[in-house]
Amino acid sequence: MSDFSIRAVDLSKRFRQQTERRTSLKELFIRGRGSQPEAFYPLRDVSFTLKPGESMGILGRNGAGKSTALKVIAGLYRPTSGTLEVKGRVSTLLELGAGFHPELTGRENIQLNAVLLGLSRAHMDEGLDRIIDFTGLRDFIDEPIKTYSSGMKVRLAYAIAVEIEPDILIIDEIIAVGDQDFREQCFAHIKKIRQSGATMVIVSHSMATLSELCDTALWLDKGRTHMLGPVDEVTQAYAASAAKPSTAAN
Amino acid sequence: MVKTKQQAAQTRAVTSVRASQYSFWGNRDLLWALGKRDLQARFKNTVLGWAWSLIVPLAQVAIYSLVFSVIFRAKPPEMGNGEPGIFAVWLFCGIIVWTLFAQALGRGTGSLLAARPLLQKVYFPSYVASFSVVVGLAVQSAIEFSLLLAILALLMNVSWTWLLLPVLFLALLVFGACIGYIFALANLYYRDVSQAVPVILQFGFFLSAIIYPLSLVQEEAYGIPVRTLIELNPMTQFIQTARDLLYELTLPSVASVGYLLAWLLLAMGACSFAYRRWGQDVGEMT
Repeated sequence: MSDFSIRAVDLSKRFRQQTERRTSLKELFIRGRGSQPEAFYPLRDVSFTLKPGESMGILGRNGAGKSTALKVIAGLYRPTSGTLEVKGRVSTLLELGAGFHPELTGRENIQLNAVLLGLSRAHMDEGLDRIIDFTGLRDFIDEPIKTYSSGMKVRLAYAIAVEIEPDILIIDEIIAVGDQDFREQCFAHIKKIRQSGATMVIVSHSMATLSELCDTALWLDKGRTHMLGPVDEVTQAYAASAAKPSTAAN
Repeated sequence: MVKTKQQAAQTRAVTSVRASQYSFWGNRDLLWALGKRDLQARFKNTVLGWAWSLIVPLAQVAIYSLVFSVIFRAKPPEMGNGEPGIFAVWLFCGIIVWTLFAQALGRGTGSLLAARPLLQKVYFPSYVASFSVVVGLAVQSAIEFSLLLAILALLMNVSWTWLLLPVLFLALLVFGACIGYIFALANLYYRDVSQAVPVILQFGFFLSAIIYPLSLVQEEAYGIPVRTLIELNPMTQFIQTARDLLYELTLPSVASVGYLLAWLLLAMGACSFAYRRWGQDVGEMT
């Protein structure tokens, strides 16, 4: 058996056009069940293998299927066809503070979000104080977070996110939020998680980010693999094609 | 249905994952954390807080006792220790069981709709979001049962049959969780479900032998075998079993237990089928 962390073979995802769905009884009655709605493939026959500790960037134009690819890998979307094998615990950072509840206090939200991101309860009990210290919000930690400013919420979410110790980390552009200082801190932490041996899949529009964090890159175009290879080769080819917009129009 | 060539040519999708996060057991921390969030958030900004979880069922007991015991002079069955029955206590037992189920269904139905934004960002099996509602309810219900047991103990109506309550409680939780999840999934496709649930619960309440003993129901009315229908309602059996164990201090009949077991297995089977068929696509519904 070959050693891999994520292996995808001919992975496809099909969406049905939502507008075609018959929802009301009236519509069903008037138009009948009719033909199958138009199929649309945001992801088509994509294959790749990631060894443990390897890090892959996904790039492509808007609508190329990058986010769909991430969501399929994360298990949020069920693939329509193909094979996806994932070994290990996946943590997904598609949005900071995804499970925050405004009525709960900072402390209660830390506890809930840490579990959502895959921290064990034992780790949580031991790490809670450290997380609170890291937020720098100790004075407000027992206030409901609806009283927090957006900046405070980001700090809280971030402090939880850096505590995770995933086998596989999936990140969507979150490095792009916050001020310069915050971005750099965030960047440093992601590097640290990578050094700890985690397998990573990262979507970003920043070639610099991808070059620094990834080993390989997958260039998606209209849901299909356009290029897969070492990160620098792919980013250079991508940058070169972006400079010639005429090819994209065809 | 016309299948396009593309669809016919597709290989079967296989997702093989080796991690605890995809199993029920691997998500027990999350189940508890979400249940706790539910409980914590429910009574925020209320002065009486947790007391509300007892006030509501006790108020129901008070009003129905007034109407049925005082005005209609309904006679409750004798207690297990041979003392004359007390309508309010007998009713409370039924109300607890019904409230647990009604809330599992009522709150459960909206649970996936509410959790969908989360399910679009973080992976966890969708049933965790729905079952966590029942975890919260279990805590509430356990408090109500404790109060009932305390009252029964003061009335010297105690027996070893009480020891079987945890089994019944667990069965009821699982039953409620499974039915709630199925309704929650259906509600994602058709919002009509959440409109229909209060109506269903209204019928369920009066057709579950909660406020009247089954023996009071006539066999037949307008050619409809009313009593048999009410007897076939699984909630009637759940309530009767609870009253057998706690109030009348007898063992439930084998037929009742077998019937409940059949319903429980049916609910679990349907729930597991629904999860595999529809429950894994909650994250991609918009």
